[in-house]
Amino acid sequence: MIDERLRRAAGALERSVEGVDVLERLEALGRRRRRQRTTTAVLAVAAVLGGAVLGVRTLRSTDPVAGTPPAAPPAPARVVTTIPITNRPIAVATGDGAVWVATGNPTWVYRIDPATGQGITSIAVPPVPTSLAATQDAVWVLSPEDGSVSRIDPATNQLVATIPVEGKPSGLAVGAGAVWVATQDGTVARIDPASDRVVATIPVGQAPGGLTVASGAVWVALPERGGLGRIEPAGNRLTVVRVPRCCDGALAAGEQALWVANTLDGTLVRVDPATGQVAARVLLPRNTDQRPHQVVVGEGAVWVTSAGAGRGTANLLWRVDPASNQVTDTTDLGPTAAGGIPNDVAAGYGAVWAAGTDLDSLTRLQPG
Amino acid sequence: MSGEWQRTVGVPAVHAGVDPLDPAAGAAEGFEAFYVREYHAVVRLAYALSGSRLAAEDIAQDAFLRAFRDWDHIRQPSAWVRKVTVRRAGRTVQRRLLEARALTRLLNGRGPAVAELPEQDAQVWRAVRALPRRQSQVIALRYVADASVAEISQALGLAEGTVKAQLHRGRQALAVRLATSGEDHRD
Repeated sequence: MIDERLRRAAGALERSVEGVDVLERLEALGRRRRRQRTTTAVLAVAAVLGGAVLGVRTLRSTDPVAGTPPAAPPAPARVVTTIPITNRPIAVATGDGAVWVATGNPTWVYRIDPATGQGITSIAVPPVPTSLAATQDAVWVLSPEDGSVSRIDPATNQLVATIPVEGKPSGLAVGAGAVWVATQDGTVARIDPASDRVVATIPVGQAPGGLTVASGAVWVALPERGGLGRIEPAGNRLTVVRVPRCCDGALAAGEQALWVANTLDGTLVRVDPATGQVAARVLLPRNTDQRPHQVVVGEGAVWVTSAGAGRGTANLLWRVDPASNQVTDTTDLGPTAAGGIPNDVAAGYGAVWAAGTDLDSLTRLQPG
Repeated sequence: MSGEWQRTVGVPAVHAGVDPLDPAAGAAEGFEAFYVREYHAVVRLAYALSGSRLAAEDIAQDAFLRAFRDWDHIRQPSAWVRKVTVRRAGRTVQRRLLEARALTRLLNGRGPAVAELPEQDAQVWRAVRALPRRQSQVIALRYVADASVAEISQALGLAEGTVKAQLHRGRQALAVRLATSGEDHRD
């Protein structure tokens, strides 16, 4: 009984510190350290000039708060092509030999040749497409306003099915033999691609976030439940994995890991999908008010776009090395034009592809 | 489904990528990553043992600042920073000084980010703090930091047998204290 009481009190303690901004505190610690370093340097100069100078230089060279660059950083990703798409690009995906871009006005999906950057065709889809997932035999389009998921046949570039999904659909993932749709009503709908019908609706709790498939299971961000949901496709059973200060944001799978662009603490969280345990928290560079937004794995790296609330802030693309769990490159994609609407990102065909309303274009980057 | 999926806080267990018992952990992990991973857990520990939400963050921050200074020489940073925190949290004079610093910030409009505990839970931690010092430290490390006997032994420099004995006595004393004061709300 006392054991249970102590555990409950420990849970209350955990909740009491949830509002503490760890990155702000880390910056404060850096400021304190710099002040102390300055004071130390002045005092040391007064004592022994030569030795003090050497001491300050040594401190600076080993300052971990300033970040330690990798020994041999890769060449930065560079923009090689900008393909104008002026009717509000929202989402991008790669698959079946093409790059697919969804736009908001009009509501189309463009098929683009990754080799030439030329548009091949455009397909009208229900309003407003916010997420795409491409496989070998289908491109799936999420249209929350219409309350549906549409299917495009890449062999004919035709819209072949529109599947109603109840409960305000908000997230999309494909894998483990099905199409999975998170809804704002707190469910994940399972669509059978053989029949193009919703065959199961799994309650997951309030306000589910990003969705992906990793290691044969479906993972969904559940910020209201303090972590991640793991759905076993065999029985559509949900298990909640508690992850402290996580998980609100997009998910991606790859490099034998599950990645969470965690807006709660501004880090990229790496989870081992075999155990559900956190393997690392990647600290993303803090630039103005940028937070991680979208994440994708491909071309040997994890790619994260940033989101900022303010007009004129930078659209950033961070490259994270999955071997070291460190940011090895930051690419500035240009200022946001209005509302800080962030980019979507995809990887494939030797490139990283960034699309966004603020960019009015699809940007092809050469990975470093 | 195995019990692993239901694990909650458990800093050492959850963060499997960095084993705090690994002697090379400090060298392999950068300070920033260590800080982000551990900061909330250390603030909780400071709050439980000091009882001051005003001073908890400063106690933790001071411990991390010390860890930063000695980073190259610390072999087990998780255990190290907990050890410094439990010592500092128990020092009344130091706590008062840190509270004064926090009050100054409060007057400047920057209140503590740590929230007040519900009274029922605050009573439990008051009872823990009223225990003999070693017992309160062992109980806090066990329940707040989810540390194993081996990890507590390492953090406090005690034999494992001593840790087990202190845990047992501490739980017994708490059960009596909370029951006597009518605070052990049995469900």
